[in-house]
Parts: sequence; C-alpha cells; structure tokens
Amino acid sequence: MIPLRLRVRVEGDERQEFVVRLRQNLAAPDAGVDAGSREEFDAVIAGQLPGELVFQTRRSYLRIPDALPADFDGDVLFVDSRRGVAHRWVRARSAHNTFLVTERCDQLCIMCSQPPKHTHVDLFEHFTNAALLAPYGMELGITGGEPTLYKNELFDFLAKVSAARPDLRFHILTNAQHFTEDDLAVLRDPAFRRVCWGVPLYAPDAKTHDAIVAKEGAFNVLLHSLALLLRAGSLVELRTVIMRPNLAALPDLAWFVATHLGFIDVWALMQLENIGFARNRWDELFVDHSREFAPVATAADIGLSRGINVQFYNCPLCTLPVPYRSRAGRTISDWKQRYLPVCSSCSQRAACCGFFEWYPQERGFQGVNPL
Amino acid sequence: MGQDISKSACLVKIHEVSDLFVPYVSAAITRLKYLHKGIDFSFDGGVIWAAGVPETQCASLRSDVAHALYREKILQDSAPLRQAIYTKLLGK
Amino acid sequence: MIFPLRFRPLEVKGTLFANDAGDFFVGHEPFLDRYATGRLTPSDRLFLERYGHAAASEDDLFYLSFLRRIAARHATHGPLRYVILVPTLRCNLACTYCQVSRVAENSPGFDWEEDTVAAVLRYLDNLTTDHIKVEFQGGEPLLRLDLLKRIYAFCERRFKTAEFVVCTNLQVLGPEERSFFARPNVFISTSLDGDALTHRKNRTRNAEMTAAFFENLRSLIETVGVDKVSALPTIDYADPPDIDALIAAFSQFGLRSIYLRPVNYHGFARKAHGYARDSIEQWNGYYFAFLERLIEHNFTEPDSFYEEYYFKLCLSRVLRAGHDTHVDLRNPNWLAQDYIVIDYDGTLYPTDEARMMTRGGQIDLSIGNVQSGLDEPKVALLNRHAFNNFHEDCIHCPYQPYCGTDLVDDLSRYGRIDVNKLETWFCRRHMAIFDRIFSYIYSDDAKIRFSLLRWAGLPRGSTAMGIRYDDTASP
Repeated sequence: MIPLRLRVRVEGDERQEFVVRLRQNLAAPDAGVDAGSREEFDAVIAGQLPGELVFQTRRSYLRIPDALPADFDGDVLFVDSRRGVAHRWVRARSAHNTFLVTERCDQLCIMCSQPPKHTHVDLFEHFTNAALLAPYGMELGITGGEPTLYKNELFDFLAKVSAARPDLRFHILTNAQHFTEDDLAVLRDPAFRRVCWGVPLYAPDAKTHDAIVAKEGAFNVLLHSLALLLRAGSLVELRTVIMRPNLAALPDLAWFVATHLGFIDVWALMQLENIGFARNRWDELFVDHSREFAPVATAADIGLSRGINVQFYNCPLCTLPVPYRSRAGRTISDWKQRYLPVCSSCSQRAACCGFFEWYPQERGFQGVNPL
Repeated sequence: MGQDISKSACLVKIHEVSDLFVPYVSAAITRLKYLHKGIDFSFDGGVIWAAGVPETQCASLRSDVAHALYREKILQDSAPLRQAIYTKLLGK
Repeated sequence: MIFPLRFRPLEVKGTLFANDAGDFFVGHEPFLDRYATGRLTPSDRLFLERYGHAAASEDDLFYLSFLRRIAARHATHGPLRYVILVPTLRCNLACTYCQVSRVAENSPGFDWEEDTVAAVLRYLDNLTTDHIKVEFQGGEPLLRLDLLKRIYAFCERRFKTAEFVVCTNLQVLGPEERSFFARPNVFISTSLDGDALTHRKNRTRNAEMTAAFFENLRSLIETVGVDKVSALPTIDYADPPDIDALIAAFSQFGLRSIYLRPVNYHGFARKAHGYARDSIEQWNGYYFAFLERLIEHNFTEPDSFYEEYYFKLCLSRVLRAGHDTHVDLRNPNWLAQDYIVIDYDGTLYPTDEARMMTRGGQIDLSIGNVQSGLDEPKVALLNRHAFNNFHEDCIHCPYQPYCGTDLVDDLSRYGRIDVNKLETWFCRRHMAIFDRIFSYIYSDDAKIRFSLLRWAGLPRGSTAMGIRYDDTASP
C-alpha cells in the first residue's frame, strides 16, 4: 500500500492550505517532470537532517519526516498546515493520480467504494493549480462523490487547465445524472477530446439499475445523458460492476450496449472492490467469475461480435479463461494494489492487475493460481 | 399463340387485396412483372390475377404477391421517416 | 416510431428481418403480417425497441443511436492513399485467363517511360496523405524491379509510413528480389491455383516453370515468413480443381487464409470460353462446396484452421460496421477517391478491373492521365452510381447495409449498369453468400458453429450471434 497522506510540518507560512510541487533541484529536473517552473508553487530541497527532509518554498519551510531526496521529486502536494498533513495529489512517477473533487453524491450505489458525505469543500482553485504542475502528458482522474454536482466549477477547471496544458488528459467518473442540452456546446469543445467520461450502467432495465444505484429514475436520466454524450462525440468508458444482482442480466445488457451504445470507446466489465459499502455486503454481492464465467462470457461475446471494445477491469489473469486474458489490463491503482503470496511464482505478474489491498482472500476467487 | 400445357390456361386468382393494400397494388404489380418475366399480372374486382403461371409455381407466387404488397406499403409508409433520417444525417 | 424493415425468407428457420443499419433478427410470418398491416402488439413493440428497430421520439437514445449506426454503415473516404502502379505490361507467363492485361516479355513500348516515372513521382508527391499503400501490378512487376525500388525509395522519404505489395507470379526469385522482399514493409501477393497440375494448366504450362514457382514460393515463405505472403487461387469454375487438392496445396505452405476468386473473362475471351448465363450457378456451387469442406476440415483438424477470406469479410460486414477496406465491397463505393490505378502509359483508372476492361476494347473507363491529371467530370459521372441505398432492387433487400455496388463489374459482364440487379453476377453472388451467412448464424450444427464463431473473431463461441423473435409466445 502506498501512502497518499504524509505527516508534515510547515514553518513560516500563514496560509492554512496550499499546493506545492517538490523538486529535488530546480536546475536539473528529473525525466518526466515538467521542466517549466512555477516559482510560486515549487519547493526545492533546502537540506537533509537525520529523519527529516526539508523543502524551501518561496514563503516557508516544509518538513517531511523519513523522506529521501528522490522520493517525491516532481510530486504535487496539497498541504493542510493546520492538521500537519499533506495529500499527494500528483505522484510524478505514477499513472494513477486522482482528484477527489467532492464527497457529495446523489446516488447511493449498493457497492459504493467511496460512500458519500453531505458536506462539500470547494478545492477547485487548488486542483487547478495542482493540475498545472503535473508532469507532461499525464492523465488525471477526477472522482467523487459525483463530480458533476459541481458541473460549472468542473467545466471551468477543465477549460482553464486544458488551455494552459493541452498535453494533459482527464478521466472523469460520473453517474451522468446532471448533463443537460445546454452542456452540448461545452462538451463539443475540442478540449473535451482529452476527456474520457467513466459512466456506470448496471443493467438494461430501469428496475435493476435503479435498485443498484438506489435512485428511482436514474436509468431514464442516464439514457438521456448518454444520448447527449453521443451527440457531443464524447469519449465514454461504460462501466459495469459484475455482481450477484446483475449477473444474470449481463447478456441482455450486452445486447443493449451493442445495439444502442455502439459509440462508446470501452465497455469495462469490472470486479467488485471490497471497500466502502461493498465491505459489509461482500458475501451477497461478490460473484466468483473464476467459477461462474458463463454469463460474463456470453455478454463479452455479444459485445465483441458487434465490435464493442470489451475490457476486463480488476480481474486477475488466472481468474479469466485464456481467450479473454488479452482484454484484461493492469487496472488497479498502484497505491491500493497487491499480489498474493501464491503470485510469487506466476509468470504473468507484470501483465496482471493483481488484487486490491483489501481483497478478502478467504472469501474471494477459488480459481487463483500462478500461470 | 400456343400455351405451354404445364401452365394454367386461364387467369389464376392469386390474392384478394384488402382495402388497406389497395393504394399499393399498382406499385406491387409493376414490381411483380419486373421480377416474374413471362407472367402477366392484373388487378380486377379487388383481386390480383396472374396469367401464364406454371403449376409448380402457384404456391410460391401467392407468397411473392403478398410480400410484394407488404414491401410497397412499408416502402411508401416509411418514406417520410427515411427522409427525416437522411436529412438529419446529411446535416441539411 | 417503427423503423422500416426489409425481409427475406430464411429456409426453414423463419423470416429474416433487417433494418437500414443492418440490425437483424429472425421472426415468423404472423409477425410479418402484423407488421405489414399495422397491428403490432405491445410485445412486438417492446421487442422492436429493445433490439434497435423502434424509438419513442426523435430525441431519445434509441433514435439517435439508430442514426449513428446507419451513418457507420456508410464508407467514408480519406485522401488518396492507396495507389496501384503498373510499371510494365510485359510478363514472363501467359496464363489462360489473363488475356488482356499482359504482353510478351520482350515487347518494347510497354513500360513506363522516364517522363512517366517523373510524372508518377510528382503525382505521389502532391498527395496529402501521411500514409501510403502501394500495390505493384502488371504484367509482371518484377521485370522492372528497378522501378519498384525507385518508387520505394521515394515513398520512404516522402511519407510517414509506407506499405508495399508486389503482385508477382514469383517465377523469378533471385538475390535482388529476395533482398527487396526482405524489407519489413514489403508484402508479396501471388497466385496459387491449386496443386501442381492445376497451376500448370492455368499458368505455368510446363513442368520446369511449375517446379520453379513452387520452389520459389516455399523458399520465400521460409525466408520472410507466412505473414508477409498471400497466395490467391483463380478458379476456372467450368473446370475447377478438386477441393481437397486445393486445400492441400495451400496447407503445404502453411497458408491458412484462402481467397477463392472466380475467373473473370473479358471481351472476346468471354465469348471464346462460352460464358454462359448460369455461370453464377456453377460458381456458387463450387464455392459453397468448398466452404462446406473447410467446415468439415476445421472441425476434425482444429489445429490447422482455415478461413475463406471473402466469406469472412462478408460475415464481418454483417455483424459490424466499418469493414470497408476491401474496395470492391463497400457502400458508397466511391471511385477515384481513396485509391487509383496508374497504368504503364500513365493513364489513370478507377480500378484494376477497369484498366483490363478498357484494354479489352469494350469501353473506355480511363479517368485521366498522371501527366495531365484527373478527368473530374468523368469521375463525377461514375460516382453518381456509388450508392446502393435507393436502387429499386436494393431498397427492398435486407442485405443492403452489408453489400455494396460494383459498376465496373456490371459493365464488364453486361455492357450496361441498369440491368435487373437481381440477375447480375454481383448480386447473385452476394445474395448467396449472405443467405449462407444467416443460415449459419441461426444454425445449431456444432461443426458450423465451430468455424463460424472463430471466423467472427470470438474468443469462445458459446453464444448465439443472432436474435430470434419467438412471437408464438406473445399474447
């Protein structure tokens, strides 16, 4: 598990929260780190004491315990001075960086990995600063809660950042419940060619889908939004978590996707993550696809036969039949990813997503074995 | 002119046309003549008649005639929708 | 609103229905009656909406996605990026079916003159594409390997990526030819008409030439790998090769994709061979016997799995939009847009078939010259017939979205383009193929499914690929 929060001490800065980019030194930027310097935000190593690394910003000192100079080079932190904590919003050497823009949500999915809260703290200004400091060509994830509850702020953020940093790409998770006709002009803007919307759809019928997301009417709104995204030429990653409540409906869902959603770029069939609401419901929700693959296979085949780009997310390679393995990638974020002891002798580790940090081995896949 | 003895020597009643399909008879017969050279189709008294039908072909011809009427009706009835679709697709 | 459906009886399985986007299902006569007479039940409507044949309004997802699917079925064309070059008409063979597209090996005046070469290079230089595919035809292109190399060198400099195909009889394979073929972006296409006897009868005429070809093919595949080499049989369906012998001939070279092409005689040669009206019956008979043999073979010997290229292409077109790279089967079939033919004398043609036809004297399908440019009005005239959508025969056909149109083929066979489509070779060939595809899609036969699902590119093949509407169950 990679820690995303650090304990820090801030000296000489009256600001309660601020964004900072850590640099080993300004003269010789590391490969992959944006060579451009934004003086106001860069912090360079001032000195190394026993058990502590000291960075100097324009205004202050930032002390990070037990850190080595190379550890955070190029990383962008959000520092909360009051609490003495820094959040690693952008890790320069990782492909898995996500901005949590809100914890509010208008759905209550039964397996939600990030259960919503009622409060919201607006950090868009800081997210903008942080994005502008990200390494060249990086893809940034935007999640929540539901990011489009703050649609205007989100669109402003995207506009500002993509104007200054046309190299960056965004992957935004959304329940697609808040798009309207007025958004069409914005969504068609060329900046959105670098935005991929990750949209969940769990079943081809309102009853099943609405029950899973715990919001009546969600399915119908979703179809309207998908029509908008189709008209906007948006990049869409359709996401379906494989669970007991929707397993039998997967083939019908596949016909639905193949018929009406042919415009999407990816249809991701995803395994459950044992965190949040899924934790207490694991036994009733989890489907061991290493033992019950038939409906998944049928769904995948229907999609593939019609040219849908079916992909498997968060499915260890050994749990999939051989012909489907090429469609499974390293999709689990690095900071919450691990391998099991039995994986040590597996020849396919490098290509496999492995398991979530919180994967319950005793109640998980029966079909795990080194390849 | 002599008639092939394997063909019916007189008009064969092929299909009784319901009111719904009367508007499409003319188009259907034009098409049927095109598809079945050598068979003469006519419409009289609410019925489509055929002359020069080989005995072996009577059953399949009945089906062809019914389908020809269906197709002309579907084609004409759906013309406005097709027009709307292609207009929208071509951005005009 | 219910989208218009085309229909066609499908043997014993029922009636096939398909819409303008190519979405299909099998239903039965009672449903057809209800549909045609406007008496659809609520179950009918639910079914139709679910599978892409109806929508509630012009704003909803089902309608908009229908439009998108229709659009996807139409071939787009980018800039010109595929050129067929004929540097020489001379050939070192005299194949029986190649009456007009070759001259004897030592005939003067049938190669690119130096100013033609310069004009070709200028022509290529003026293209806007970043990526080019060059196909060398002839005659026998290897007789002018020097010209091939010059074109190669130019394209490598001029374009971001370039791909080359040399269509050769492979009678000569010396060190220079081998060296050219070894380049990673050079591919080889040759003819392999069957076993030695058949190949000799059609093409090489004597034992020595035949043996030389077979050895060259073997040696080439061994050197550059089977992925760089494609071999196509030309079938004289009046006297076709034994099917098993044909498969064996390909098998010995490790070639698993067979593209069965019928001989197409032109002009005087057609009359000479007694080209009969029912030749399409002969062709279809042989073609489907071959296909059935492949299915048998694949089931019993899955480790040497075969495909017939054209059947697989048509199957892909049924299931998915976007398979438009085979230039003879697409709709609209734009001519002189994304590819063109440049002849030995610099004349431009829309297709290689058009070049051969013109040489046969039936009709002049040339569309300009590489020196003076494209004859735009003539191209525009040809392209008035690029679409099949609203042709009076195609508009009733459920296969219209998967099919195409071939102006040049109709001209070559009938001398005109307004014959009854249903009687044309092109239509009868494709109608038969699509009939067979749907028969297989709705088949429960294990052997058929084994091959079909693999030809469709599916990993497992457990699934039904087609929808059935069992309306006997509805109230």
